[in-house]
Parts: sequence; structure tokens; C-alpha cells
Amino acid sequence: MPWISNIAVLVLVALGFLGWRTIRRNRLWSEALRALWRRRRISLVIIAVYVVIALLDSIAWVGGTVSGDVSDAVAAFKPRSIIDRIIAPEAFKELSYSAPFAEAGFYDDAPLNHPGAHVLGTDILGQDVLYRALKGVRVALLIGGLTSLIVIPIALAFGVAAGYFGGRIDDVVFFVMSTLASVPSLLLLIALIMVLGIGTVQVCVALGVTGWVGFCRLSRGETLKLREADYVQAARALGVSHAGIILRHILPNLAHLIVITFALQFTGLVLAETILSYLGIGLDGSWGQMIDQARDELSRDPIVWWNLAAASCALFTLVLCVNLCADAMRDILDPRTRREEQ
Amino acid sequence: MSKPLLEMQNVSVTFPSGAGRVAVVDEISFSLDEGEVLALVGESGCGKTMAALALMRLIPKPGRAEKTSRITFDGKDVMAASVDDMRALRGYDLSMIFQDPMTCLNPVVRVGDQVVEAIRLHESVSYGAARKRTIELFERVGIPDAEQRFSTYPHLLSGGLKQRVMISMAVATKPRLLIADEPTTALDVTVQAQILELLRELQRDLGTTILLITHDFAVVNELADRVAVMYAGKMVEKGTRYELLKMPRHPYTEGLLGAIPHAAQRGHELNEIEGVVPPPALWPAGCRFTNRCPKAFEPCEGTLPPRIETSGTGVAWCHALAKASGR
Amino acid sequence: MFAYLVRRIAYGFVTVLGVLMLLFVLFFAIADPDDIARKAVGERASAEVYEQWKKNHGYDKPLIVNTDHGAAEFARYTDTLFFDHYRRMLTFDFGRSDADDSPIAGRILAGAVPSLSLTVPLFVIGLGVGVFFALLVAFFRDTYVDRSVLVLCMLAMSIASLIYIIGGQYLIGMLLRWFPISGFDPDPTVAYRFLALPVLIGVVSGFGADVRLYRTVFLEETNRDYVRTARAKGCGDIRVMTAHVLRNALIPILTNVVLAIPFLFTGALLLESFFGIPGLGSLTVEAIHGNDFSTLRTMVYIGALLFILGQILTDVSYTLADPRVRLR
Ligand SMILES: Nc1ncnc2c1ncn2[C@@H]1O[C@H](COP(=O)(O)OP(=O)(O)O)[C@@H](O)[C@H]1O
Ligand SMILES: [Mg+2]
Repeated sequence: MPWISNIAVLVLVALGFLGWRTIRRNRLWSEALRALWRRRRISLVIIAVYVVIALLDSIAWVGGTVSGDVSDAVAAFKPRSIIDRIIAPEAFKELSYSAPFAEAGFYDDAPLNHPGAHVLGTDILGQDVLYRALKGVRVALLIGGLTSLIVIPIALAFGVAAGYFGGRIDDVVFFVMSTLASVPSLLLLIALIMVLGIGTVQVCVALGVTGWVGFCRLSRGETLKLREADYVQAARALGVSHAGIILRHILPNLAHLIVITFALQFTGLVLAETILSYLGIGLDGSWGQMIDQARDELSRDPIVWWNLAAASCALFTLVLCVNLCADAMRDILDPRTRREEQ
Repeated sequence: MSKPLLEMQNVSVTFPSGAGRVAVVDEISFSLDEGEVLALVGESGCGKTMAALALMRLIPKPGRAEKTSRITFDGKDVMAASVDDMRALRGYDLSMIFQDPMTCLNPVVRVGDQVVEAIRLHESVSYGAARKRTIELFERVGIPDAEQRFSTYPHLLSGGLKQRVMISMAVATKPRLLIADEPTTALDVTVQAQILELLRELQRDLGTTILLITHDFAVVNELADRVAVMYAGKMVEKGTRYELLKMPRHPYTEGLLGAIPHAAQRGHELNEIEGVVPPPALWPAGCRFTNRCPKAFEPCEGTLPPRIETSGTGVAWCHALAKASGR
Repeated sequence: MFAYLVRRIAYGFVTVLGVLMLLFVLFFAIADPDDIARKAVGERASAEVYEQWKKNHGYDKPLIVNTDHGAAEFARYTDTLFFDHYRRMLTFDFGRSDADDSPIAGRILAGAVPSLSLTVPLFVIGLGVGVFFALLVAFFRDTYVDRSVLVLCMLAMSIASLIYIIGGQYLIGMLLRWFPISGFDPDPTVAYRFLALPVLIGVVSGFGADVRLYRTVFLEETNRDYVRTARAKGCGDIRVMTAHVLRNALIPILTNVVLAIPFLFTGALLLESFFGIPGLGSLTVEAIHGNDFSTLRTMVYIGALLFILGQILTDVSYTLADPRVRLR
């Protein structure tokens, strides 16, 4: 279903544009963003590159000519993304392993179809490793980003409702939260995927179910505090509606938490997926899967390292950059550390 | 005359800020004789605590006392003392009571043990002996049920009792110099009077020299022999209590005195000083008080005020005074 | 204290009931027992075998209402999967594995020892190393020691645990050959050789996040007023850290730590399965590969049970460690 992915790209780009405009208009946030840019320029650029790759890999359509040994009939039905069309993996492949920039096969020394062209070498099936690593970008952002984007608003809604209204709503939300929180998250994740089945949507749902609790708890606690704040009390005394108070006073004060949690959740999810891949219940085409497939290659003689290295570096770079940005963002937004710095 | 117990000369404390370092305490000097009580007065944010911490060598990072500062305590050069010498000095000859007893006691250690620690860090006595001394001290500073109170935790004590614990900790080793940093500010009015009374008694009985930091002239009036007034990191006026309270010369001292609702001043118009101490980065280049001073005139802003000998032992730093005295 | 404990345990029990509800929804309502049975006996098995299997594994009843019994009968509601699920889990009657018919309780008991012999040293050493480095970093705060350890932590945190394990096994087990690559032996004089490598890898992979967390706690404490009082008393740097800061910082650390204790029993999933340690983690991995729902269900339940127990322990130890906490 290429159209879902295409529409998602459209929606994400539109959301990104709207978000950018909102930030530009808000002094506090545009300042925070500028400070982040000043301190984490490289990380931000790298993240942007990842995002662009993922978007390019998400825009797919059927048709066009396919070279290589794939029949035209298959090509006519199989949607291919922009990345697919640029690299054309069907043609750009070898018979088996070849080292980065190699002129010949790794074990058999057979001449390659594309000598010296595989920057990161090829895997056991002769697929270009760079291509596989690039394909992993979209999967990682799907796991980390899209899941968080969907889960955080839901968690926020429950958390704020529980904290703000208290009473029955709070009791129910709190009970559900403490129930879910009492199950060790990896076990819950495994159970959910086993029950729901293996697949992109299922894995994302499972990650979402386990991921929302922490943030819900955080937003509930923060809302409880804010509810008692003077200006909220004053607004209530002035007869501002609940919706008004939540929109104008509570949510803006949770914004920094949302941003930081988003980043931490993102890295947590991407890292968790590698474990799932090892257990055989991860997502197809993820870096986790690449790492899992590459783990036996270390015991070959001579060893094949480029598969593992490519996947781990791609993963490490993304997680590190997001971690660095989250860390800087926390420093910038947290008034306490801000005071410390002066 | 014998040498003073404490001499502070050109003491500066700086913190990094923006481009360079700003001096939150800027070349202040004063001295204290044995047995004397000196009150260091000024509004919040004037650098009083930092001046005292410079003496204790406890200025929080990234602040530091500048090399030009000279501090001599009991003949020893404090600025040059080794870390170990300082540690031996602190809490033994040189004690300090802090402003907020609520947060200054370790919440998870029994209050008695905190005093015992102060004793045992400096004297090789057994725990039992130190404990006995602590209980006596508690009784001495007016903590009821001293025996039971020894093993309670700070959060179970009222503010007044906590401050009494702090005081007993500070005087446990009979220090030569006691620094009391706003010992009553955080307390209720009635408790304030009791704590002041206690300090005065201790001073009388032990003959302790006290550096009393406060922004309250009522406290000054109760305890001090001499007074030093600070504003925005600078010394602005010094003199005996009598001189300062009855004949304040510097506009800032006048303003401070006007600001206290003292019985003697009832009926007088309360001419409180407007505004607050600006943050250190915004302090003016010349006289720091310029923008809040009713007598400010043209030279105040740009040049440092001259030192003027006022009556007797008093000195003040003020352009307006200089002009009035014809210099 | 006693009333508090009773109330706390009662709430814990309610949470257990909630977890069982979650498990019921997941493993009986969403995962269809018929499907499970069909997969277990194979597509071509006779209807008889199929029914017998369902009966043996307790999947042969209706979900919540048993219409075989009359409307007034109690059994209409008790003779159901729902009721059975609660009854069996609460009485620790875990039944048989869906995959190979072995009794689950026995396998769990057998797996507990290898799991604990991996996780307990891992936990103790990890905690010690984490606290030690955090203390060191807090001690040298705002110096290059602090900054370089922080950078190191950030790097360490960004590496997936899978990579730690693969890399560690390759580097230390295969290249340097310090320790055997995998295996286990119940004899402690031999077992340590098998456990050293997984423990080492586990400690290293947890290092970054731990040190950062503890460092924050320590720094928060070193900025407090009572620390200045201690210095004014004449405490040296080391005494300030150990007698005052550590003592206060241990309260939040302790709560964190007690909460982690139950996870010791469920084992370190990846480590166990990579290093061939026959613990509960390996059991879980086998259950995943063998579509063994009943074992998985039991593992989730036990994990949750231990977690809830750990929470109660945390609350109690909190009230013991911090004199400020008064029981409500
Ligand atoms: N840690 C710090 N970093 C930067 N500036 C500080 C710090 N602590 C105190 N200051 C500055 O030093 C000045 C003097 O503070 P302090 O000595 O506490 O004043 P006082 O005791 O007179 O109220 C204040 O204006 C404050 O802004
Ligand atoms: Mg002060």
C-alpha cells in the first residue's frame, strides 16, 4: 500500500511546516531552538539527513523500468521508493560477499559485476550493504518517530485528564497505568507482539502500549502540580473554562517535557527494536535485523565485519545525535540547570 | 594596642559572567578585635555572605576570592593557608551559623550526631564524651528535653530549635570567631528575639568575637559594637554603633535606617529606599548606589567615591559628603 | 506501620488482579485458544487429538460464560477460561507448556538458580561501579574528568545492548580467549568462568545510563545547604562526600535499586540466551521461538508479581531510610 506511506509523508511534511511556523512565532521556543542549533549543529544536521533519507524512501510508486533479473511483471506491481530508484538494487548486486570497494568476491575471488562500487561491500546474498543500511533509516524513524508521535498525544490526553480532573478519571487512569507499569516492559513487549503477530503495525502498537505509561505518569504528576499553581487557580476563579485552562496554562507548561520525552522515547524504542530483532520478532529491514543476521559472520574466517559495522554505526549515530540533542534541550529548557550555568 | 583578631584587606570575590568576571565583593576591608561584635549590614544581594565565605574559604564554584585579597586571622594568612590548615581552622577557631536552619542541617543525620561530628572532627574525644558535651550544649542554648532531642531528626524540630542546634554546633569548640549570617532572618519575630538574646548571652559568657551579618538595624542595635555597611559589593560606611545609628552619613545608611519601622522613628516619615539591589552585572561603574540615591549628582556615576573621614572613627565613601565637606 | 503495610499489600493485590486481567485479554481474548491449539497439534492432526490437547492444556472451556450450565448455577461463571485463569495463576498452578507439555512450574524453579547466579553479581557489581564512578565524577565536577566521563556515558548509552554482547563475545571470548564463549555449570567453582564474560558485558552496557543518573543525584545533593554546613564544620572533601552526600543520595538510589531486584529473577534475556545460560531469560526466548503461550504468560505474570513485590519493598525501605517520610 504505497499510498498510505505517501500520504504519511505529505502529512508529516505539512505538520513539520506548521510546527516550524508555530515555533517561529513563539519567542521562548524559537530562542530555545536557536540555542540548540548553536550547541548541536552537527547532530541536528545528521538527524535532518536521516529524516530526508527516510522521507525519500517513503515516497514510492509503481512502474518505471527495472533492470536486472527481476521480471517486468513483478516490477509492474511492486512500488519502489525514490531510494530504490536511485540505487536500483536489482541490478546493483553481486553473487555473495564482497568487501568494501573490493574488485573481486571475498571468498571466491570471482570478478564482480560492479568492481569497486560497493562502498560498504555486499552481504551474503550479494546485496549492497549501503543500500540496506539506507533502507534501515526509514524503519528506525518509523519505530521511534512515528510511534512516539502517535503515542505521546494519547498519553498526554490521559495524563492531563487524570491530573486535572482527578476523581474517578484519575482512579481509572492510575490503575491502568500501574497495572501496565508492573509488567516488566520487555516481557510485555514480547507478549504483545506474540499475541498480535509480527508485522510493522503490530510491533509499533506493542511499542506504543508499553511506551505510553511513562509519559502518562509524568504528565499526570506535572498537571497535578500545575493545577495548584496560583495562576491556574486565578484563571479558574475568573471563570475560564476547563478547556481554556488546559490549553492556555497546562499544555504550554508541559511542552518542554513533551520534547524531551519524545527524544528519549525515540532512542529507547530504536534500541528496543534491536532486541526484538534478535528474538526474531522485529521489523523487516531494520538495523536490528541486519545486526542479528551479521552476528554469525564474526565467526567466519576471515571475518566479515562490514555488515555489522554498517548497521551498528548507522544505529549508533542516529541514537547518539538524538541523545545529544535531548541532553542539550534539557539544559536549555530546564530553569534549574540554566541557573547553574550562569 | 594588640593586633586585631581578624583583618580583611581589599577582599574581592568574583563570579564569571558573560565576557569576564564580575566582583560581587569588591575590595572591602575591615578588622575585628578580640571580643568585639562587628555588624556587616546591607540589603539582600550586597555580597555579605560572599564576604564571610571568603573568610571561610568556602566560596561556591565557579566563584573565587581574588589574589589581591589579604585575610589575616589570628596572625595566620588565610588566603595562603593549606587545605588541611583551613580544615583544622573551620569549625574550630572559625565557626559559622547560616541563614536558613531549615536546609542547613543534614536531613538524614540525627541532630545530636551532627554536633558530635563538629566536636570530634577537631578534638580526639570519645563518642560518649562528645555526646555528653552535646547534651550540655543543648541545655545551654535552651533546647528543652536535650537528652531526647539528641536523637531526633531535623525535620521534627521547629525553626527556632534548629537554629539553636546550629548555634550549639558552631560554639561547641569555643571558636575564636563566630560568623553569624543573618541568624534570625528565617525565623518568626518572637523567636528572633529569643535567638538574639541567646547570642548576646553566649557572647557575654564566652567572650566570643562575632561577625554578625544582618540587614536589620534592630539586630545591630541589640548586639553590635561596630558597624560596617555594604552596598553592591562595596563598603560604603563604617563606624561605631553609636555613630552609625545616631549620625548616619552615607545616603544608603540613612535610607536603611529610615527603612526600619523602629519605635523611635514612629511619627517620622518612613523614607524607604526605592527599588532593590540590581544584579551584579548591572552595577554602575562609579558609586554603585547612584541610581537609587536621592543625593546623586554628576560625578557619582562615573568615578569611584572618595573616602571621607566622618566623625570620630567613622569613614564613608561618598561624593555628596565630599562636596558637603568642601573637598 | 502495620496498617500501612496492610494497605500497601492490599493495593498490590489489586494490581495483581489487574495484571491477570491484562493477561486474560491478551492471551485468551486476543490470541484465540483455538488457534493456539491448532498450531500446537499441527494442521493435519485429528479432531480428537485437537480436543484432547485443548483439554490437557485447559483451553477447552468458553471464555467468560459457560452456557452448558443453567442461568442460576454458579458454574455458569466459574467453569470458564476466565475463572480458571485467575484461579490457577493465583494458586501458582501454572500447568503445562504449550510447546512440549513439560510442567512450567518445574522449569521456572530450575531456571531461577542460573538466572540469579548471573543477575545478582551483575547487579551488585553494576551498582558498585555506577555509584563509584558517579561519586568520582561528582567529586571532580566541572573539570575535564567530569566532562570526559559524561561524554563517555553519552557514547556508551547510544550503543545497542545487542552490539555490546556481540562485540564483547567476539573480542574477549574469541580474540583474547579469556573466558569460554558460552555455557553454564551449576558448580560454583566452575560457573564463575562462564559467568565472568556476561557479567562484564552486562556491567559495561549499563554503565552509561547508571553513571549519568547517579551523577545527577549526587550533584543535586552537593549543591544543598547542609553540605556547606558540613564544610564549615571542618569536614574534608572525602568526608563530605561519604558521610553527608552519599548518605542522602542513597535514598533515591536505593529506591531505584530495590525496584530492580525483582528483575534479577526474570533474568537478563539477551545475556542468558547469548551465553547459553539455562535461566529464565533463555526460557522466555525458547517460549517465543516455540510459540509457547502458556510459558510466556506465566513468565509475564511472575515478572509482574515480583515487580509489585519490589514496589512494596521499595516503599517500605524508603520509609526506613528516610526519616522525613512519615506514614500516612
Ligand atoms: N553561585 C553564584 N553564582 C553567581 N552569582 C552569585 C552566586 N552566589 C551569589 N551570587 C551573587 O553574589 C551577590 C552577593 O550574594 P550574597 O553574598 O549571598 O548576598 P547577601 O548575603 O548580601 O544577601 C548576589 O548579587 C548574587 O547575585
Ligand atoms: Mg546572605
